[in-house]
Amino acid sequence: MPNEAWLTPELIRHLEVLQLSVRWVRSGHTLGGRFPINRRGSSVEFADYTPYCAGDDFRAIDWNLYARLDRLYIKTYKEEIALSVELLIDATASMGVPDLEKFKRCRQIAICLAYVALAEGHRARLSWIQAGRILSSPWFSQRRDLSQMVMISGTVHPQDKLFLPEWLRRAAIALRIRGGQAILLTDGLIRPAEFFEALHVLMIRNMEIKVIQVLSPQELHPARFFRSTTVVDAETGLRHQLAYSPQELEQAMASHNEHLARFCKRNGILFVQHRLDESLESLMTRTLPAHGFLE
Amino acid sequence: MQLHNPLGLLGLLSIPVLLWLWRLSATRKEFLIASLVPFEHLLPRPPQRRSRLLVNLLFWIQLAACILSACALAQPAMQRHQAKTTLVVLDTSASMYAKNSGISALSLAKRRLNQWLATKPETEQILLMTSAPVAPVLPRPQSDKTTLVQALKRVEGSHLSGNLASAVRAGSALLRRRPDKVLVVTDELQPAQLDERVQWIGMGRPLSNVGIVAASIEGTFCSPAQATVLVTLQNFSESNSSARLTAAYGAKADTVVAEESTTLSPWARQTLSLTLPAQNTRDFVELTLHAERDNFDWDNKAWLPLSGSSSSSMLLQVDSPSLKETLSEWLNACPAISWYSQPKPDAAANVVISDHTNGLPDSATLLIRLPVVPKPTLSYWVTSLAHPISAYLPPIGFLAAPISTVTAEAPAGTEVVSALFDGMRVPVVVADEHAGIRRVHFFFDPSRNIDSTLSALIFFNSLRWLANETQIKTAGESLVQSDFHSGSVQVRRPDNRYDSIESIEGKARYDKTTLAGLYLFTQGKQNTYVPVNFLNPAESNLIRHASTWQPLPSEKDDSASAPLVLYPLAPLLTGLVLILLLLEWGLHAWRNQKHPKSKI
Repeated sequence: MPNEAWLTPELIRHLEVLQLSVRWVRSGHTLGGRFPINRRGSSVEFADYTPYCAGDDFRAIDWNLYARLDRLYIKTYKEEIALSVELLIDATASMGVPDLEKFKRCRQIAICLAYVALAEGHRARLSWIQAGRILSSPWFSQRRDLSQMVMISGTVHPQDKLFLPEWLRRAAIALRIRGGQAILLTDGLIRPAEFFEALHVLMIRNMEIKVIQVLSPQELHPARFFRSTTVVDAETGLRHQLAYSPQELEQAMASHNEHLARFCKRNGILFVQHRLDESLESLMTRTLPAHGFLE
Repeated sequence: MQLHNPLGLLGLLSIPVLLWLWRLSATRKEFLIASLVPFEHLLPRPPQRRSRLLVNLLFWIQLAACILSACALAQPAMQRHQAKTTLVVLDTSASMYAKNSGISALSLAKRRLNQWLATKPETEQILLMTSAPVAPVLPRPQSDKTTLVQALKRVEGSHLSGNLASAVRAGSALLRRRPDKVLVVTDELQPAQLDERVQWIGMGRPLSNVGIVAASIEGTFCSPAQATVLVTLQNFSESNSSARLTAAYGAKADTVVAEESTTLSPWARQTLSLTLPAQNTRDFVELTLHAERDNFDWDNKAWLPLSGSSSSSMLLQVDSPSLKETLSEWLNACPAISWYSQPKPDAAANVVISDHTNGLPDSATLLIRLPVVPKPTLSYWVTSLAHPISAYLPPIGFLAAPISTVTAEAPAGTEVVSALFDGMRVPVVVADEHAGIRRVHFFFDPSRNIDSTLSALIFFNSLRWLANETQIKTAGESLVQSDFHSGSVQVRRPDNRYDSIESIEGKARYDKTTLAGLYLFTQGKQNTYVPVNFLNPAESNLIRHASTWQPLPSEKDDSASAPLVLYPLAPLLTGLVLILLLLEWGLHAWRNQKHPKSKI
């Protein structure tokens, strides 16, 4: 395993006992998991009766029931499926500002959540939201895939700017995203409309969506660090001479974040804001369970 | 608070520069932020020109450094009162050598002072003065006990008269303020009334003593003959005391050549006469007193020079024929004097007789300033009896002689003889001794007076004084020895310590005659003993010691002149500026490390 000092045995022990919260299991998952669904599956657990239709396997017809009711019914059985967890990591240029710590923390959170999923028997995949071709890892389904996951994720660096809804549309096609759980790790510093549109793309793909917004303290309280100065947008390169009161700056940032959170809540999307001055272990063991991300 | 360099406050002009730099930096500074999206609804508002400068801790540190630097350039000084200062006067006069139960009063005094120093507060400043001679032991006040104890250990007594009042005045002058306390350690009796600032530590107790209080040697000036020594003894006690006086020649004083005994009544003073056998060596006689009830050694010895007039050589350089004729007759009448009228290249004359007013020689000179009008003038002559030249002269005489009445020419010195003329007092004979060179000025013409007896007497008395006849040196007087080559001369003191002095133009001068005894001047193979006598009745009197104490000046006068001490603040301010700059550098480096490219 590459030198990852943050991935301590103690942290892994904590991750072992956690599990992802799942509100509902939807189609599109692979078989062989631990989630049973009512489906004309091939397991031994009886689920229900359903009227026979043309084309059904007549071996599933319950002849005893036909003898009593003179109507054809077939037996259905429970099918156990595995949860697919898509971890979408924002790798645009804004994630490298003010320093790479924000992007690194996103990567660490993604790896931790992926490990939780693997430990639970699900499968997980990391994808990086970045301009250019769709960058994604293969599906990981076993714990031993952790080292490979760490190695692959270490090669990506934040760069450029993109239009998030468009990227998700392309990724959904390219990565065949359908069903399962999507966890978006981002700083949320995009226009709210883009953010909502991007989440809609995932929702119509039958995904259970969770959002973790990672921000530095400087971004949360900009008035403490700059007021009357020229600021440069890291993604667009636009310059602007700020001339606002500290209260206005603080209020603008808070309003933006509140806007995102309110949208998520309204659409049943779990939303957590993570400050970089909070430790990773605290996030994984306290904050995320408290917000229903983990159980 | 005082500013030694008020122009340094111009450094405060750096504050506007600092403000301008910060404003310039603020307007040119760019912050890279993740996104402008959260502030998009604020962007349409045009930037306002801010009137308030946004600063951080770095600015305040830099502002403080600017202000402190300007203050340091102004060199401020704070006025503060000095720490408590004590003036310690240690009596080192000769009487402190009197033995009291086998130990001298000076040793006891040093012991008491050591005890006192051990208990003094650490911050108390001490200025240690000696009374004989009046001098500080350390150049400035000290609070360090070790330094003071070491300095006290080096203090030695002298055979001089002490003066406590002078020591206090000199110490106060050195302190430049009124001392908070004066500690006097002496063998003098404590005055009845003492200022509350004065602490008096008395040493010793009244002791009987017999000592030599005066000595002189008499002999004829013009012919070698037996010398007679007159020695005055005094009994400083309440009972009779027998005394024996012996005389011996030379430094070794191994052979007694004369002896005399007597019994002295209480407080009696008696002069003994010792006739010494004729001898032709240029040497001295040592007198030793042996007496009962004697507790002081240094007044039991005296040394008298025996240099006779026969060894004196005189140069007569006179242009006036009549004067030359008269003086030649007088000098020829004195067979013990060798004189000549032309300078000898191989020998220097002891005394020069001249009527030239220009180019005075560096040896003893009798300068005759002839009056412009050679007409004898009748006048009263008044004689100052305190000077040796006036020996055998009447206090007031009546003489007709030509007198120079130009008083502006009168040099500084002692007017031995003055004339009352036309309602004025005109100097006639002036004796002067400066830097070891004696000069006698005659403002009359000795060859043209009616009564030549008085003139001849003044002339020969002057020659005797100029030839250093019967000069007895006492402690404290300077010793001037001639006939040395230019260069270093070693002087061995009576306490067997050596000093080195420089001989300039053949004359070696030694001033540190603090002890009575024989001083040996050595240069190469040339050795010259010079005796220095004690002869100090005031110090010999160990029962009724004359007080040299005077009350301290009133506090009102002192407080007006007591200065405040200025403590310069510039070094402190400079140190603070350095600390602030280091702090600013560290803070700046930390901020750069935290936000390397000003990103938010």
